[in-house]
Amino acid sequence: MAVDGVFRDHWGRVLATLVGMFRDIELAEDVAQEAFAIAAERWPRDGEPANPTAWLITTARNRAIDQIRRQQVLTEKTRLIAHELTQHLEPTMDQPTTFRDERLELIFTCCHPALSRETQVALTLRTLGGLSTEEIARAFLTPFDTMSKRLTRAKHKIRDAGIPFAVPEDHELPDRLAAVLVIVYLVFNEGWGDGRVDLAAEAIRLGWALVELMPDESEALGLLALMLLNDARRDARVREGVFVPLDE
Amino acid sequence: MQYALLIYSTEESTPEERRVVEAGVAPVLARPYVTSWARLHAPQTATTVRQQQGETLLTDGPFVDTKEFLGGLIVIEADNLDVALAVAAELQALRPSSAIEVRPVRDEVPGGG
Repeated sequence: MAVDGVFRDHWGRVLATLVGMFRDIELAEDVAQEAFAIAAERWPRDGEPANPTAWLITTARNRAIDQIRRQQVLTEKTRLIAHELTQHLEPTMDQPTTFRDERLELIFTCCHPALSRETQVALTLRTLGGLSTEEIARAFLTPFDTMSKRLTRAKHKIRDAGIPFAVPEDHELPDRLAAVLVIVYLVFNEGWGDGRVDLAAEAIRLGWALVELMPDESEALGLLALMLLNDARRDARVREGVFVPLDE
Repeated sequence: MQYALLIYSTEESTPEERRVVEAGVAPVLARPYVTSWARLHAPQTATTVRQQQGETLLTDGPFVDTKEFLGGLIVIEADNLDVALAVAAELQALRPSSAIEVRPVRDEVPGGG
C-alpha cells in the first residue's frame, strides 16, 4: 500500500518510533499501515488531531500490542513491551505525548554494512521514505516478487542477526555516516531526470532529514546542497536533447 | 544473543603463519564472552554419513570438498551484530587470508517453536 503524499512526511517518523519500541520492522510496518488507513478515514471527517505524529504512533502502538497479545506466543516481546510501557509510554488517545524521533537509528540500521547495497537502498526507501514495495520495484526495474523477497529477507536478517537499532559510536560514525550518504546519493542519481517514481525528491527529503537530525555534520549538509543545486538545474540540463554545460 | 564465528581456512597457510594465528587466538578464547569453541582436524579426516534407500552410506572425506574449509568455530555472547563483527574482525586481522563467517545462533529448542 502506498502512503499518500499528505502522510509521507509522517511515515518515517512514525515507523522509526515503532521499530524502536518493538524492534521488529515487519510488525512496525503492519501496524503503521493500519494507523495510516484509520487516519485516512477519520481525519477528513473529524479533522486532523493536534499532534498527528503522536496520534499515529499511539494508534499503531495500540494495534501492535493487541496483535502481540492475540498471538500470545511472543512471550519475550510481551515482556519487552511491558518494560517499555513502564519506561516512557503512558499515552492515551486524548493525551498526545511527544515521542522520541528515532529516524536516525532507523537509517543506520537500514544502511548497515552487513546488508547488501541494493538492500540498503530498497529498505531505506521503504522504511524512511514510505514508498511501497511496488514503487521501489518499478523504480529499480526489478520484478515485484524479487523486491518483495529482498525486503522480507532484509527485515528477517535485521531481526535474527541482531543488527543494532542505534546510532553508531563515535569511532564508527564517520564510516557509517559516509555509507548512509552514499545510499542517499544513489537514490538521488537513480531518480534524476526521468519519469519514474520521483526518487530525486525522495533523496532530497532524506537529505533534509539527515541535516535536521545531525546539524553538526558538514558532510550531510554538503550532500543536501549538492542535491539541491543539481535539482535546481534539472529542467535546464538538457536543451533539444543535448546536455548543456554548466557554464552556459 | 549468541553468535557462531565460523572460521574458514585454506591449506596454504605455513606452520609459521599458523603459530602466529594460534598465539593470537588463545587469549581471545579465554575471554568471558566466549561460550564454547572447537578446532577441527583437516577435512581429509572427515567421514560423511548419508542415508540411501534406508541404508547408511559412509564416504571418506568432507561433504563439500572445497579449497576453503571450516577450520573451527567459536560461539560468543554479544549484545548485537556489531559487537560480534568486531570480535571476528579482531581474529581475522591475525590471519593472512581466508574469512570468518558470522552467524546468529537460534536460541529456541528444536520443536519447541
